[in-house]
Amino acid sequence: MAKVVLDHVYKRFGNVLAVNDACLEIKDKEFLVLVGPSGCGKSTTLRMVAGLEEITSGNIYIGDTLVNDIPPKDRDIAMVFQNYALYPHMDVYNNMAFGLKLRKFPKAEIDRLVKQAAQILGIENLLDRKPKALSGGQRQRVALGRAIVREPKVFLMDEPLSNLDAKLRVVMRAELSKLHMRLQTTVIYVTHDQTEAMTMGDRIVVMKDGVIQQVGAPLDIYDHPDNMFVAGFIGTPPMNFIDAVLVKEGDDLFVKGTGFKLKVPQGRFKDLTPYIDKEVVFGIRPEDIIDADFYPGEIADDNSIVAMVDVSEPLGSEVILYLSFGESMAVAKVDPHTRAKDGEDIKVVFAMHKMHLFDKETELVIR
Amino acid sequence: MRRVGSPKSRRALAPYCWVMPSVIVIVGVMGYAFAKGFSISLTKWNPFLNPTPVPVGLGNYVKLLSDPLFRHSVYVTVVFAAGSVGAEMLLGMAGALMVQKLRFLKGLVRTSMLIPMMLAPAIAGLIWKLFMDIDFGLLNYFLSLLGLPEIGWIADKTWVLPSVVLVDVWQWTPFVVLILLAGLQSLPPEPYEAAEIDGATRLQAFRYITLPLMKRVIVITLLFRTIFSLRAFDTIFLLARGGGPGQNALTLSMYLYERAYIPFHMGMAATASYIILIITLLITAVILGLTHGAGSTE
Repeated sequence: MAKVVLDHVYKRFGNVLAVNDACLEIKDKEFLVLVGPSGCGKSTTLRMVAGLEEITSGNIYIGDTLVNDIPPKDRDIAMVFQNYALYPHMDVYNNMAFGLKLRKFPKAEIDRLVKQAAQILGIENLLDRKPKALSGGQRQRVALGRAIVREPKVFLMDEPLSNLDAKLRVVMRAELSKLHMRLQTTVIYVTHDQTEAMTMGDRIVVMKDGVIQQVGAPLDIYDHPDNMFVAGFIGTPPMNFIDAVLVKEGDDLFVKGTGFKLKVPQGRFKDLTPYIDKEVVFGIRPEDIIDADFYPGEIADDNSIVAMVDVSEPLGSEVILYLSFGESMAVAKVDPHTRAKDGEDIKVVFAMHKMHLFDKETELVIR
Repeated sequence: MRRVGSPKSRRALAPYCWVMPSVIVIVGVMGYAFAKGFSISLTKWNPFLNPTPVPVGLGNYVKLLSDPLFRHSVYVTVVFAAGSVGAEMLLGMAGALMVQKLRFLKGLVRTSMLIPMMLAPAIAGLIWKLFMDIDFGLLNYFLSLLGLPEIGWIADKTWVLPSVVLVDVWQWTPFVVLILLAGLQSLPPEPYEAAEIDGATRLQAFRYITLPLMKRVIVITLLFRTIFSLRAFDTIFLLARGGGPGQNALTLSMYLYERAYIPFHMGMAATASYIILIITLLITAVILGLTHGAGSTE
């Protein structure tokens, strides 16, 4: 168990800057998720911690040890790979025992550790099978088993669930969280799936183009994104971004666009004076656009609009509506009992106390 | 036309139908030659002196197996095959590992390695005969530069077999390199990263990951090279005609050629061919037996 520190870490592949000034402190026993689209540098960051990629500049510490020049085997880490990376010619037992054998553990100890790990993961009956004879989920467990037998300081997981089918992924997601609680070890977990990030991480690191965009607790990032990228990446369906102008009428401020004029709640922002009469991006999450029939509060002209339903997608627990009003469009996640029908108008209310505003130029959030 | 059987059974039969014509041709041609060869091996037959074959039963076999020179040639062949194939496999694996690691000029290296294989064996034999000439040969010239004594190479009964092995190794190592390289390049990279984290050194990764994963390719290469080297004839014929000094390079095929073919002892020639075939089969079976289940990931 140990903390991991990335101190101004850079990674360059030829002309491409894959990781740009990454600074992170991963606390002891923390489950930290690196999330971002493909090519954002999250896997490279993880592989630098593992020692599989050299660092171009900067420092990485595991515990209090500077590990820049320490080979992977001496970093006391274990890694789980996306495609499991099991040794195809070894049975499950030997796949798990290999690292211990190389480290010259006594035979009895190896046996004890492998069986204990197998029991934790529920794969005791598979120990004599070769990876080829296992299902995807079972292989993933073996890969996890290989990591946990070593009782490392840090677990590194590189998209470990993305080769599993959707149903199994949900099951394994919960199991991994349980395993983390049980083992109480630092975990760095890489994924492109924001649902995994939200559900598993103690903290999330959102990355884009090699740059860390935001670090924070899942809900914190969801509720208070720092920029449009984070706002759009975390959450499904993604946050709506609608071009608008901030206008002042009397004491009140409004976001105004084609087809809508909505009042900005007082006290929601510190100071919007510099943005008055300027173009901004109005951000609102789909669940914060509510079917007026189900809105418990007061419905007024300055918090609601009439929009046309282009398409509705009933998902059982909710209905996703693709709305258009004026030249603007938005996605709403509404109550499953909505009366909205494709091609018809519907009145929707914007939960304006949950609105976001972004600077159109910098794409940074306006607080 | 009425169709016979269920669609499923017809589908199962289809592949056999497609390969049937080639199987019939191959079995027909080979089977005939096989049978004819065997029937000749049971006769005494010289097409020029006694055009009608005289049946002698297994006489040729008894005669051959009791010939000390034949037994000597079996020994020479086994030493030749073991030496050349062993060296080719070791050098081939080392070469493949090195070429795999190349960052630049990989294509050029791979292509230029094909040159010894592209040369006709007769040309290769002649070139090496010149290289190994005791007075004018390049090899002795290099030895003299190093201040080492001259070697008789193919003119010396101690060196003739190693010389022939050397040429075979020169000619066939690139082939082994290419096949093993293809195998190495098809290995998945992930187990190596996992092994690196598990704590394997390069040597351990080779021993515990590369070798087991390459077993199948290694066995196939080994079989190919063994079968070919047991039948090697052309370069040996040019370098050590008649088996070379002391007949120390008298391989089975040389024996067959010198003792049976040249004097037109067709019965003996066929018998020797059959014995070579049996020896090849035996050695193949031994290799397959030793590497049973090799590379299996089932």
